[in-house]
Amino acid sequence: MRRGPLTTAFFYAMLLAFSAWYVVPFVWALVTSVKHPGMVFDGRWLPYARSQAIMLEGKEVEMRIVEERGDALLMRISGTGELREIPRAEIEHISPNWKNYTEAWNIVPFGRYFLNSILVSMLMTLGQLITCSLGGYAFSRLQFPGRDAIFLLYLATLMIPGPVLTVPIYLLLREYRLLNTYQGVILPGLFSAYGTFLLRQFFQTIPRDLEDAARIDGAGRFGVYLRIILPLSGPALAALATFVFIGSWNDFFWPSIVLTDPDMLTLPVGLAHFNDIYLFEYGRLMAGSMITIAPAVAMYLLFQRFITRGVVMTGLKG
Amino acid sequence: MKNATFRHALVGYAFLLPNFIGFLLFTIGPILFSFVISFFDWNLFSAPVFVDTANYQALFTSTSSRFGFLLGNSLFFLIVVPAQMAVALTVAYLLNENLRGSLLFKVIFFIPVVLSVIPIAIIWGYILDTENGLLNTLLMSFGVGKIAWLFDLTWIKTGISLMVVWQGSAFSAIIYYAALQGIPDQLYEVAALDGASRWKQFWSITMPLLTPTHFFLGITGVIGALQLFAPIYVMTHGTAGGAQNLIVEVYWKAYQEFQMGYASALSWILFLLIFILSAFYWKYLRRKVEYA
Repeated sequence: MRRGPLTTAFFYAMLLAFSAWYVVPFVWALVTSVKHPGMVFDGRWLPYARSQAIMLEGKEVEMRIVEERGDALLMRISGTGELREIPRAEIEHISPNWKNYTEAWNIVPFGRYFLNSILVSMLMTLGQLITCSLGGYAFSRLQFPGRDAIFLLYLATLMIPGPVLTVPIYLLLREYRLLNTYQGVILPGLFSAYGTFLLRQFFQTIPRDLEDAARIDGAGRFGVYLRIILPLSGPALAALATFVFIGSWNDFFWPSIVLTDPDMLTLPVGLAHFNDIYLFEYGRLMAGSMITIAPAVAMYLLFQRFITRGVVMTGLKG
Repeated sequence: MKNATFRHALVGYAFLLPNFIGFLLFTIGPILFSFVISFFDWNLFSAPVFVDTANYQALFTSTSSRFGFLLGNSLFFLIVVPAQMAVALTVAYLLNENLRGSLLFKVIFFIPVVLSVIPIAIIWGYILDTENGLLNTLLMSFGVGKIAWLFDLTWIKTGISLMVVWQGSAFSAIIYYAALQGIPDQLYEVAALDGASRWKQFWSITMPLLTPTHFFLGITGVIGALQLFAPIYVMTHGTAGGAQNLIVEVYWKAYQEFQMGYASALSWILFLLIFILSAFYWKYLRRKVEYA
């Protein structure tokens, strides 16, 4: 479409405005995460530090802040007790405080949570790829009594919201002593009616001729599934994998109900606990949030195309 | 022949089996079980007692039940749906112009889709902080007074909604962007030849062709908004402080007070609400969808 210079300028202005809306919260969090204790709420965009010792008439003197007075600070010289107004510029300098990160890292076992999250998300993704592709193949290509009725039942359950399911699943896990275990978090996520539906729809678009040819060459049903259907379904499998992985990586409700042992938490649940304990200690909280966000951002930058394509496929086909 | 059919059936069931076990244990079984226990009084420590429809009646009549309040809050959060769609469509439209630097903007706009809601809610909790938050600092510089975004009963839902729109619009933006890329350029070229302005083209070509996308995002958005949990939970440190919706109440009743029957009844009411809203949506808006 043709664009005049004015339109282009307007579009850039809009793009920049929306970028600010998305980027500013991150920058704000990042800056806060390296602020010094006591300087978190100074309302400035850079992490200032205060030195207690400054050069005064050629000598280094220890001082304490008494009061903030706009551009200056009222300070008491230790020893003599004399009060002086010192311009901020002389005593405050920019220096990021990375201690918030080491403290957050030491208080919260983020490394452990990261591994827990990886374990849970990987197994769920793998599980759904297996169960959903097997089921999807059965629904799309195999003949057996009751097939269509069962499939309809699957479709009907897509309407049921999560909360209806969670109470009974919780009770089931409790009955089998699976609460507070990794199995308890993972098992219910090894299957989904939605994933089965998604793959069934995709398998139906694969030409039957290929399958027939393989059958004539003596391949069994499982051989066809493994060597024809799966290799041809790369995009659909990738989309489902992205969908399940991101979903379980970010899931909060379910793991927060099942897991109570502080060593077993997933990243989001662990961070939420941290948030409840260090209420309003924003320096550390922002550092913890940044630690949690970093792997996801890295994942996005690496698999960008993959992820957006996955979102479009799983979203639109639902 | 009969033998062959039997074998076919067996193979079919074998393929379906692992999937079907999951379906039985984690979907259809829980649905039936949940329905049954919604008619029982059960606190996990003593045997369940059949109470008929008392759980459902308690929702509406008991003095401790705040059903109207919870329902009102659940419905309030529906405002995030049109807000998300508007932000997402604008962003997607701008990206679709393929201006120089679009690649970078795309990363910025789409990245929230992979981020967990917990760190985002924590960051927004700070942005919305009454004394030192970014938003209040900004508002003050425009001469607006401080707003207790996360404590004031009238503002807390707005505060949470802001964060939900911020994060949720990334998903919708990706979907809109894909849909916009599917609209052939020729349509715009022809319209431009006829002298249609960009504004006119947007309303008479882009919007109608996007109706399936609007419809899809609308219905999934409504279903998602009615199940909003993590942002409310995290931004209020589990207290929900006046922003309780039906699902926070389900969580509270089931896992804090162990009233399993009552929580199940409540979750069925939530299902009914989702079902009714989706059905209305389907009935009245489906007709407006144009398929090109």
